[in-house]
Amino acid sequence: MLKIENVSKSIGSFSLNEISLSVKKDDYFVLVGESGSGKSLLLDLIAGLILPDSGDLWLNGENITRKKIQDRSVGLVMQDYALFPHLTVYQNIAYSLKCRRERATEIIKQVKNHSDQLNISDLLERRISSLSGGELQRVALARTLISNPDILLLDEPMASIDATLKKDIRNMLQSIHKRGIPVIHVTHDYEEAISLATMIAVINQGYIMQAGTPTEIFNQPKNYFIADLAGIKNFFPAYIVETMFGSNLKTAIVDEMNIKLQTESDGSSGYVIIPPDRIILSRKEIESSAQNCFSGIVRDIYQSPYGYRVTVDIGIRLFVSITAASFDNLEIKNEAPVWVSFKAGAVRFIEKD
Amino acid sequence: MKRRQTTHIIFIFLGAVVLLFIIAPLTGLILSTSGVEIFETIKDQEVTGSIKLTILVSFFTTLFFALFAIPLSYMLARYKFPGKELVNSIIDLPIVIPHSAAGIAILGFISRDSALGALADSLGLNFIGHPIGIGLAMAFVSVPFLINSARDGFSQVPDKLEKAALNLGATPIRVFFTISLPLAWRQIISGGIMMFARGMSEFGAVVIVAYHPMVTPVLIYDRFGAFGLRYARPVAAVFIIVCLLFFVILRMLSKKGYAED
Repeated sequence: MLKIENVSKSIGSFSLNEISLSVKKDDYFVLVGESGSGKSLLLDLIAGLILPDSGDLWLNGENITRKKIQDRSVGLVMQDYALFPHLTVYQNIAYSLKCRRERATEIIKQVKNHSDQLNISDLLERRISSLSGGELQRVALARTLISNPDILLLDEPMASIDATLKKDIRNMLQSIHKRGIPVIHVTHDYEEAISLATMIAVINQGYIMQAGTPTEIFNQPKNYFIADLAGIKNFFPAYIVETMFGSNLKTAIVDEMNIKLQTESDGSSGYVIIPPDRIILSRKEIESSAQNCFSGIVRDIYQSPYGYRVTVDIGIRLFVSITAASFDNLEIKNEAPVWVSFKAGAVRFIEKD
Repeated sequence: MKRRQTTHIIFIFLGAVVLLFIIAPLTGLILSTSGVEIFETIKDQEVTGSIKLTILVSFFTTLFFALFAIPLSYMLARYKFPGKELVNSIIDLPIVIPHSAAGIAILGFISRDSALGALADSLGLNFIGHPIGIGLAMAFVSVPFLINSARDGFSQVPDKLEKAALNLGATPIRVFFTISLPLAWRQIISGGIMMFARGMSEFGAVVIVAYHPMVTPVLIYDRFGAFGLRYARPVAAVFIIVCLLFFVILRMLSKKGYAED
């Protein structure tokens, strides 16, 4: 489908270095990275807005490295949508069809189809300046999808979206992907990545640090940088098995272990994240309000910039962050028996599909 | 607070002096011309013919030069190239050089001794003393207004919109006509009005290229030289009124266009 081979590009003091990635037809590929990591630049290279200094880009077996922007079948939705402010919603959506000199009846039909699919049929005569963030997003998607691209590139599509609308947009993106359009989605938000991706690549300072399935990335991080991404530790596939009536307290099964958690989500499968700094480590079992309390064995200890990170095997491997003072007090050693406890409210659940 | 108020009062006073300096002579000129004089002047075919010539030549000159000035403005706004600053400076040259000197330069450029003049001559045209010569003199001193304004207009169009249009399959020329030009239109029209107005009022360069047929600024000078202030004033008053009318109407039309955008 899309193959990126050793692509490099320098702009000023920043450079993308020897980027190689492969995106298959059924992939929802999420590129995760901090601001300034080069992820948007990579999208620009794929779309042809800039040309690489070296390397090759292949789309459906054709080398598109030097192909003109307008001749690539690559749909790009920019971060701030780049809708044409002097045109109506209808004219924006119809733009690519007019470029292709489609017949007027065909244009009307296709605009209607796409606007129906994205629930924006009532906005067609509106000016761009009168639209909300969610509406702008839908119009931008319709405008790109109507051009029938071979691959869809989304640059931080949820960055300007109200938190309440994010779920709608996520569902919409998933349904677009299910229509058979491969997607490359750029974000700095790992939760967004987990909730949508079939494949993830982590990019930092112009280098791809690791690429793989979400489980590979989060459970077998290749290096400290990936392991240290916020919230990336203690990330497990899970499914909800039990809901207490009238409460948001639920039980999730994580690798045959029961984890109590609080979530408003009504989905049944996804991932749980237990932040290492929300876990209490003790030498003995303690009585507390924590819903989750497990015994385990210390498997690994290493010093971190803020204290110590202890790996405890409780049936799953949990990373626990403790201060240097607590580490000294508890006299933690490798292979020592310990207890870990954490509140249900500390566990985060990220719904998948 | 009191100090701030004092500053405001001083600034208002200084600003009012400048405004008065512009308004007073013009108002004085119009007020000191009687209605009968204005009526007689409007009936004078030499005056009306001259005003018509001035307006038409300036209008068509603006349209013609826009064909060249707008693409140049776009290039200056969008592309980086060696010598760009030099090009920008060259564009501003006609504003800073004396207009009589500009007229001499234009005269040399279009006289029969020059390549362009010889070419025109072979076609039976003589630019000197011809509306085309007048138009060239007008354009020389007024085209920077259009280029600078259009360049600013194109610079304000986010280039990501053009990239988005390319990504949607538009050719660069289509992007120019459907995205860049409509979004820079306001500034282009504004620059066009300034060029048109500046062309109409040009005297120094035009008088050297073509004393006849007389554009109105030359006619005013001619009447002043031959008959004195009393005979020149009504023509000046009528021309100022006509210029103001055109200026206001064009501004209003362009504003209406923006409101409909």
